[in-house]
Amino acid sequence: MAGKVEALAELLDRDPRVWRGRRPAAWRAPVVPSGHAALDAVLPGGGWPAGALTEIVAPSHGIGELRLLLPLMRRIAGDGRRLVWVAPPFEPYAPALVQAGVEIGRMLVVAVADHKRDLSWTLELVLRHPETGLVLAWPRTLPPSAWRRLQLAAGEGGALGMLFSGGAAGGTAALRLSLGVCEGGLELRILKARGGFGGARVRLVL
Amino acid sequence: MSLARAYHSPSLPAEPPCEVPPAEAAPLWLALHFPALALEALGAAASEPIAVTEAGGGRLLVHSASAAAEAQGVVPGMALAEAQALCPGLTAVNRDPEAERRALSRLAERCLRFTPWISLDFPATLQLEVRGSLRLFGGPEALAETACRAADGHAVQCGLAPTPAAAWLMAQAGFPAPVLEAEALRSALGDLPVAALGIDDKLTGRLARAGLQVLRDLWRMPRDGLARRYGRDLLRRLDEAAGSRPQPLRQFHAPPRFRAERELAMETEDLTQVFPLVEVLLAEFEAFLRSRDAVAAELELELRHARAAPTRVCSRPRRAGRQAGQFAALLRQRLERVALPAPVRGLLLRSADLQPFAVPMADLFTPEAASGEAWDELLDRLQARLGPQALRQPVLRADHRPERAASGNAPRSGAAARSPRPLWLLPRPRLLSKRDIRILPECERIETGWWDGGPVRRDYHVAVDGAGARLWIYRDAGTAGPWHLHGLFG
Repeated sequence: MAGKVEALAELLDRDPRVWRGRRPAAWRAPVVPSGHAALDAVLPGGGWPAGALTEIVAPSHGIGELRLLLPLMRRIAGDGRRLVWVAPPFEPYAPALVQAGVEIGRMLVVAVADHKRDLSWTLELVLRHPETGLVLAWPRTLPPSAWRRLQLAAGEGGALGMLFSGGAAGGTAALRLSLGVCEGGLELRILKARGGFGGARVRLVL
Repeated sequence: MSLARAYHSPSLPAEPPCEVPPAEAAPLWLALHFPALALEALGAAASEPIAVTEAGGGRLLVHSASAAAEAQGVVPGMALAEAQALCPGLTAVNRDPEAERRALSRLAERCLRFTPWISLDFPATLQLEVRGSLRLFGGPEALAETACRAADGHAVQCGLAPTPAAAWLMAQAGFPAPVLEAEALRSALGDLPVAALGIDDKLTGRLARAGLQVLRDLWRMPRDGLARRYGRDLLRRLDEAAGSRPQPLRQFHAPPRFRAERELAMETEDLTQVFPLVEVLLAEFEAFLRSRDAVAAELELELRHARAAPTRVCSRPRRAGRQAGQFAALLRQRLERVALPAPVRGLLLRSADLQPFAVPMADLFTPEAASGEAWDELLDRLQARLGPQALRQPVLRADHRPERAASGNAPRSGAAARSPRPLWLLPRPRLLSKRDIRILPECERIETGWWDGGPVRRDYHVAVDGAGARLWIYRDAGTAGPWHLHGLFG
């Protein structure tokens, strides 16, 4: 009997779809540490969800949204996995990336001219690929069905998908957070987190 | 020894000594010699003074020279230094044996319409076995003339004789009259100098000192004495020329090509009806490749229309492959964005760039290292749909101008700058329209590029705008001009 209870508890712990109250310590879904201790403390599992989508709502470009992800980029590139930028609003600048210690040899930038037709196709193809480690994408809008497809693709390939959106339509991402500017850094607000509660606020100095 | 011999069954026929063309009549060889092949293969113009050089005896020697160079006294065999003294404007080019071989195989492919039996064993020469083709092409002279015309664009000399060696000797010497019978060979070749046999200068000198100047002199000598004094090699060459000893040659085979076509039952503009037929052709292509153990580096699909030029779709995957499914996916992506000028009537699938299949080597210790293949396939698919300019890789270049330090295709090692650089760079700087910015005092001056027509003299600052974004802005150094936005610190 005791064995069966343990097996059941383990099953419940393992499945991220089962919500069991505020028990973040039992959360065992794969995560990648964000490199910011304060942020890891509030993220369920202690890091960015791997094999899932993260939606980042940023009011404008250039406030620190890339600096937030630099530790993650260093880790992914250091593991020898691919880092793909899909439809970035500007040019990712190689000297700055090298300065920040990110290996640029296995990086790919994909420009998408026709967002409506090609963007979700491109994202799905890239996320599904087993060599992809991190996808940074700037979709203007994505229909809810595309969010679900991409979520499945990311789960299959095990890649992290970071999607920057305007925040108008809430996607079905595993993690949604919004960025705000504060003195000397960023203020993050977790809007929704699978396996945890939303509403936490963190201030990061970048 | 006797035991070993006993195992050879006497009833077995002896192995054929060489591969001879299957002709009932004695073979007849047409040698097409290209004296200027080394120059022509390099695409050199005859009006320029150009010499093709080759290393010999520790020096660079002239292998062949263009007409303009020869007019100034440059001759083959001369040292390059001497040739340059004679002809000051001489351009020296290294000989490219690979290009010569390619040019010769192209010529051989053109000559396959005269005979299926062609050999490339002689230097800069095609050997065609033409006994069976004489009647079709109207006799030996007419055949030789047609064959020379087929080698359009190359200087050519031909010789026609019953043995390949004799045909080669005649082509080199420029004898136009064909020799059809082996019995007539000795008298026809008798007046050629002994050096034409291709023996070295030392032996030629020894023969000349003995008073042996032409081939007729050699044929008059006793054979065993010749072999004893001057070596068996000389005797072998003499016998091959006269036809008393067969000379094995390797046969040239044209490189394989694939070509398959289909007519549609009825004309259609609907590509969904065309595609199943493309897949049939691709399956045929895959079977063709597998039977030859080859992979294809490129593939062309031609859609034929009744009253319009055919639509061509070409696919060049990053990695040569032979999977029909892989080609089908690429062709489908390309076809989806093709505008058809007219209904499709037929299909043609062809591929000329076939390469031998090589088994991919897996790394024992890091299995991931060998997985680039799947990634290349992904890049192919992305590029087929998004266009050739869609994929880029950030690279570093050794240039201080920010817009050039990360552009271009040629990756070069460049040290990262010490002062802060923004993670976002604008493709081109734009005039800063915002007023509510706070400019930080640190300044970096970038002043370079005056030598290549893109001079830059700017003072860069970091600024923070009202929304909290960190900007990288500049204005021309020493002026109070307008601010330009060049990057964002992401």
